[in-house]
Amino acid sequence: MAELIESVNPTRMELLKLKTKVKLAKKGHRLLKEKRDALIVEFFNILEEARGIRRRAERSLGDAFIALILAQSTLGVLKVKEVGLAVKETHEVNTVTRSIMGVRVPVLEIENEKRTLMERGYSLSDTNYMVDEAAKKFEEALAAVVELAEVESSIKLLSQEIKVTKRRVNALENIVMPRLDATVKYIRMRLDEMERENFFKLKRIKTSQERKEAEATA
Amino acid sequence: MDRIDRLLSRQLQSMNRHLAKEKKVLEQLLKEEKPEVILHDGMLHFFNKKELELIARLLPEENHRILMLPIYIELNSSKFGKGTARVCGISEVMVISKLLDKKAEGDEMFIYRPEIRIIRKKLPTTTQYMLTATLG
Repeated sequence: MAELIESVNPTRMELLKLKTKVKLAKKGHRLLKEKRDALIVEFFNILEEARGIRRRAERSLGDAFIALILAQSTLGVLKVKEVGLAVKETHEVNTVTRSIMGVRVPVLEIENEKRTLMERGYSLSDTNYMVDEAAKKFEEALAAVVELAEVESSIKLLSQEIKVTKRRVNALENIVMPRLDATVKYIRMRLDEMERENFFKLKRIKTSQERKEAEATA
Repeated sequence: MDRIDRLLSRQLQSMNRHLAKEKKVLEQLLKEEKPEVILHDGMLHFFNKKELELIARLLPEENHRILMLPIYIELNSSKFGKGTARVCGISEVMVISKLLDKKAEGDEMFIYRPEIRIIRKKLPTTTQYMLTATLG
């Protein structure tokens, strides 16, 4: 049997108060369950999305590094490094948020995702096609990585919220509600017991009074 | 309103703080560079432009001035049953029914959990969950 709420008086007033609490707990429990279910739906939607995005990011990063190695093999490691230093760092990531049942998840948007040859900033006469290809592939990989970051941080935030909501639902289901029910049952039993006691007391008083009356008349 | 209802409505208010303070019409959002609404918790919620364009394609031009965004997916298990949600509004119902390829008439439509998943997948920023409860 569940534990009772401590220091509770077995009175009718207390019983009424507890009944109100039971009703409220049940409604709150239902609401939280709905929230948890909706969050789980969202979580699985994003998880499904994440699988594809992770694969795509890994593939594009792999392609980019192969392109880089090819560029290094034709121009030399030092030259490619030099070209890299000349590249303008103009990629900006805009961060906005969207709300999923109160959980703020980031929405990342990369500005100027694909740059033209001129926008990249390195000298075209000193480099070759392989360098351009590597730069292009890295830009693609960057977009995929940003997308992956958005999805993975959403998963993390949602899973934290699910955990908290689940804990609340379980606390209501396994601790609060059984405790309230047990206390209501205990008060009911005590009130019944008190009623029986009173009834018995009255009966005894009545019998003793009757006996006294009988003695007086005799 | 008795004590339970008061407490419950307060709880609902705090659980629905992610809802928009004021909805905006589709036509206005399409014109904005960064379409957004202010939420009850004071934060900004941004809409995805691609989603807005998708909705605009699904609706006739005259409904662009009627449809208020975000669309609310109303959850109330005690009233509609577990896993069932309601979408209200003529234009809202039109959008949802076209996305789900499901017949719907009037200003009210009930959708079920697998359908909710599809809707949320297609319209993650233009739809929002709304928790409701039957008072009394």
